[in-house]
Amino acid sequence: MMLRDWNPSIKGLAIILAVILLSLTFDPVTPLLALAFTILFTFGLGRVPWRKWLLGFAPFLIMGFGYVWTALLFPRSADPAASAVLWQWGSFIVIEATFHQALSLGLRVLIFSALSLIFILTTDPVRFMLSLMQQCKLSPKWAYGILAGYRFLPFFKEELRILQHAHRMRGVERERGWKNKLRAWKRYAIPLLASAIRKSERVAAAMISKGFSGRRDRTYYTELRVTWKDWLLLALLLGGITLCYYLSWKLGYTQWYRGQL
Amino acid sequence: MTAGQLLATGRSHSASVPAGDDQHDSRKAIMAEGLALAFEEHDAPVLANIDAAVHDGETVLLLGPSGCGKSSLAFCLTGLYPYAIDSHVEGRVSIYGKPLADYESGDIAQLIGIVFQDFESQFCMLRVEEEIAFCLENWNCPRADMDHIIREVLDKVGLNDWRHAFIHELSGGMKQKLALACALALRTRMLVLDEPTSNLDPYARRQFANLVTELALKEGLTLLIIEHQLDDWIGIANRLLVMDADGTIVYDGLPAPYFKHHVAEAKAHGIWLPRALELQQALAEDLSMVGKATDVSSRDFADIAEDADDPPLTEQQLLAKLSSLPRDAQATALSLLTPLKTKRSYTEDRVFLQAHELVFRRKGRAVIDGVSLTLRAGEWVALVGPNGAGKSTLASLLSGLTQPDEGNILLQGIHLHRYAERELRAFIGYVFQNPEHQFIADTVRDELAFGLRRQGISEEDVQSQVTDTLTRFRLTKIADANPFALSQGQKRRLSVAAVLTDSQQLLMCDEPTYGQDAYASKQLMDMLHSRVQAGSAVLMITHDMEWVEAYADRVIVLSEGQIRYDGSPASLWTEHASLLEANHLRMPMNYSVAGRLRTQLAEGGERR
Amino acid sequence: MNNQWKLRDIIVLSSLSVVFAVIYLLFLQVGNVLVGFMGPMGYEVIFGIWFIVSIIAAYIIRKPGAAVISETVAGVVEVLIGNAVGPILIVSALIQGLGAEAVFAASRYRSYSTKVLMVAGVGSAVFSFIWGYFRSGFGAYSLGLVIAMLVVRCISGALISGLLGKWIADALAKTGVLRSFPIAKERK
Ligand SMILES: Nc1ncnc2c1ncn2[C@@H]1O[C@H](COP(=O)(O)OP(=O)(O)OP(=O)(O)O)[C@@H](O)[C@H]1O
Ligand SMILES: Nc1ncnc2c1ncn2[C@@H]1O[C@H](COP(=O)(O)OP(=O)(O)OP(=O)(O)O)[C@@H](O)[C@H]1O
Ligand SMILES: [Mg+2]
Ligand SMILES: [Mg+2]
Repeated sequence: MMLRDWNPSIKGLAIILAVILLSLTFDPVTPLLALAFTILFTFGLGRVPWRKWLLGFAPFLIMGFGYVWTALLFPRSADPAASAVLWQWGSFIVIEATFHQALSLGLRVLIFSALSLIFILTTDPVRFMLSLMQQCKLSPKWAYGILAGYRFLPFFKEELRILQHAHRMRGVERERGWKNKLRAWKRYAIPLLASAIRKSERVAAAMISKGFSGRRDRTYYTELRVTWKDWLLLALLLGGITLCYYLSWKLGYTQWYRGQL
Repeated sequence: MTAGQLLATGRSHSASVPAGDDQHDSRKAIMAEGLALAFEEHDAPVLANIDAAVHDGETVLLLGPSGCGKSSLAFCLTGLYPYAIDSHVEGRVSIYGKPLADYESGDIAQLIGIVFQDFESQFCMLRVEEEIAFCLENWNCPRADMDHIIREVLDKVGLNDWRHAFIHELSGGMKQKLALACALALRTRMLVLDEPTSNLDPYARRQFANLVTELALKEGLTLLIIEHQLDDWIGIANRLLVMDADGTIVYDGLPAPYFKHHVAEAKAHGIWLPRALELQQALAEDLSMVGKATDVSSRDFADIAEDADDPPLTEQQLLAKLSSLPRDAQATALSLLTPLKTKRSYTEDRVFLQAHELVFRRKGRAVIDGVSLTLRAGEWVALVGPNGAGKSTLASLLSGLTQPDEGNILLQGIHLHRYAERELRAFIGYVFQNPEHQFIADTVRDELAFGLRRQGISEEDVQSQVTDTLTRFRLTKIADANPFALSQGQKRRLSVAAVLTDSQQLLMCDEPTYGQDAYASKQLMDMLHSRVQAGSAVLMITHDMEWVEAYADRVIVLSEGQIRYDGSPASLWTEHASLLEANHLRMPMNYSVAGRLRTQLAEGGERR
Repeated sequence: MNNQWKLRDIIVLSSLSVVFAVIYLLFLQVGNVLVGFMGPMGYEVIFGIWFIVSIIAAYIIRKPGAAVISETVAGVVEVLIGNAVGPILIVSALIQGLGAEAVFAASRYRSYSTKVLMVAGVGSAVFSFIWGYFRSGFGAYSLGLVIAMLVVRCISGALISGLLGKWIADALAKTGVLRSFPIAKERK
């Protein structure tokens, strides 16, 4: 429950700091430890449905895998003599250093996505915008303007479905060939965008008719504050990751990312 | 009478209103002088030469043919044109005595609240509560007061149970109510309502009108109401503003004189007459004919057509008028009000479509729950029911656009899914509830030509047919405009007309006449009618019981996904009154007047 | 030119961003699959799609900031609707937007020709590549692969975001809904 009440601005800051902190390492153990810690953190402090979490996490397993094997196939030219050879398959050699780098690259994807899921699964968009206005001094004109656009989201899916029906109804047939496909795609995309723009114009008028002037001095129904609890959570997350660094250093794995350009 | 004369009558009336210093008269909620509007600098103006005023505490009804610029005028009068949307506005508008330009942005909203015609896109937050809070924050309402104000306005419109709901999950009717709640939260002195009930079922529509009326009486709100079908509002209107197709005001005055002297002009412009007035006229005609035929002294009936009185505008007034007739004349009127329609005998009894035990679920909830029905050639079927009953969903199932979860549909004896897409579309035509959803072409003309070209008709014929349709639906002026840039009513007309150019046998029309003026509705209905006569079948979803009564051979009442009634309209009105109420329907006015007259007669009889 | 942002411009920008955020997410799935098979190169081929909104928004609205803000908002929306790349993606989006913005700024926000739009796509590609190099640790790959990736990404930026973006915006302008935007005023 706590993660949900965490001030979104501080939450975002904490996660960005954590990501930066973790991009400093280039070994597989630190991200692995951090991943375990992050998962503990997520499920220990926020009532996050694990199904949703897995759904968000799964695609990045594939992606992480892609990174791993590319790094294995196209390694940065390294001296094979410098480290132990793990596999050899004809001319294809995997040395330990490369293997570690590849693993690190893959795990990096996973830990970043796990950190992000904390934010995604526990943040209400409206509270996020309110916090950006109240803590980060984003102008209300922008915050509410963006929120108004965001509100269209649920409509798009519905509109797309209806649009498809309409086209079938008017006897537009399935297109063959990529040129016709592109044309068919345009027939969906353009009306969808056009109606989005029309709607935007109408919503702008509606907001103004509701007295919205974009002035900064306005009262807020939901006031978001930053308390010591918010900072405590930030410290907890960053502290945990530092601890991971310490552990992996103790185990003798830590390897800094030296900006291998 | 010419438009010029009309204008003169209008002017003479407005001159009789005591006017103080025109410039700084704060009793004038809104005043416009020489107002003109064009969307492009060199285009023909949409509005021209508008002089109009709304006085504090008044209820003004703005009427006019569809596409004449009513919504645009409302936008101009509240300062949204040209400040929120680019446009070229000339002339002067002042609000409560102060010129528009002198207002700070956001300040006008504290004087005038608006409920827009397009209820889908007038919210900017995700939840009901947030939307109202947004309005309150805009006028710097102290935070401590917000909670109870939100509760109060939601209570007024009856949405308190939905306080935390997502706005996009509300039905159309609820959205229109929320829009009203927002306007109330702004605590304005005036409300502008632009067709606020167009998609509501009859019960919700009356609810809405009653609510607004009550508020206007209790809190002295000034109202400017734009609506085509004015039966719900005419009773509270103090004044009428009538526009013609060219965007000028041709009448400004009391309602009764307009409907007394200018009925012919109103009809020519395509303005709806109050249903009570139409009934009275029809009765007067019929009665005089009966009078002649039976040789009863026609003096008895003279009363009803009497020109000296004000015409009846509401059901109540019509009833009063009829009650004042002698008893035998009342009895005759009674029989004339509810004629026994001879059931049309089908020339053929060909079954087009048969649906058997259809079930369709959304998020686990059965939206269509065991529906079986049969549609025959030459049949006009009306599908009615409360908002959210599943009417649109059913039409979409029947036309094969969505597949039912259970049950099956036979089209001419063959399973729907056995048809090739092309064959199916050549047989079934479908008009969507939201017209914007079916526009394919870039101009109105091409939109109409699209279906024709697909049939392989020669280009010459296509053009002549398109021109014909354009004139018939009064779309000629905007033939080269983009379909998205039309007024609501024009969009609706175009979408129906585009489907009617094809030659399908089975037509499903989802609320084809909402937001239409009288002329266009009549045209649409006549076109559908001629298709039915030619042997097509029409399934029409509608909230308007007058159309059901006038055209449908059969009416199906759908509620909570189940069919509650399937039979003739007349027997629904007369024998199933309890069904009507339970399903948010309303009797057509001739039946409800007849019913009340009959009760009165019976009571009178007992007393004697 | 009037550089003041009207509420309407903001909402139009934001709704464009929302539409494309959804498209971005779809392409992320496509990209993930491609990467699974082709390695990081899989991303490079379609990378241009992720800059498209900044080109379209800038081309339609023509105000300083349109490119970078629209891209950033798209990033924010992606995060809000559940892109597990997470808040860091907002930074990525910001940097991509800055790439296009830099090109428009260099043309002093005066020219929106096809060429400028394509160069803006390349600008995004270059900026994003530098950022990606550090963040995703491309340092682990051989130099040849890295250079090939950069070239492919630039081409993708020019074609997919520059050309396709212009084509979409022009088609949109033809419908008349952009009547009161600079893009329509120029077309006359
Ligand atoms: N944004 C726009 N751009 C260009 N033309 C427009 C725009 N909005 C409306 N129009 C045109 O202005 C005219 C008046 O439109 P308006 O919406 O005011 O009509 P209306 O009287 O409210 O009609 P309805 O009863 O159908 O709602 C129409 O001919 C329409 O095509
Ligand atoms: N996209 C959707 N997602 C979830 N539920 C939906 C969706 N569309 C409609 N519904 C629900 O399905 C039910 C039937 O909707 P439908 O649109 O068929 O009603 P309707 O009878 O046509 O109403 P109306 O008279 O307001 O047009 C409603 O309860 C509605 O809330
Ligand atoms: Mg209108
Ligand atoms: Mg419906």
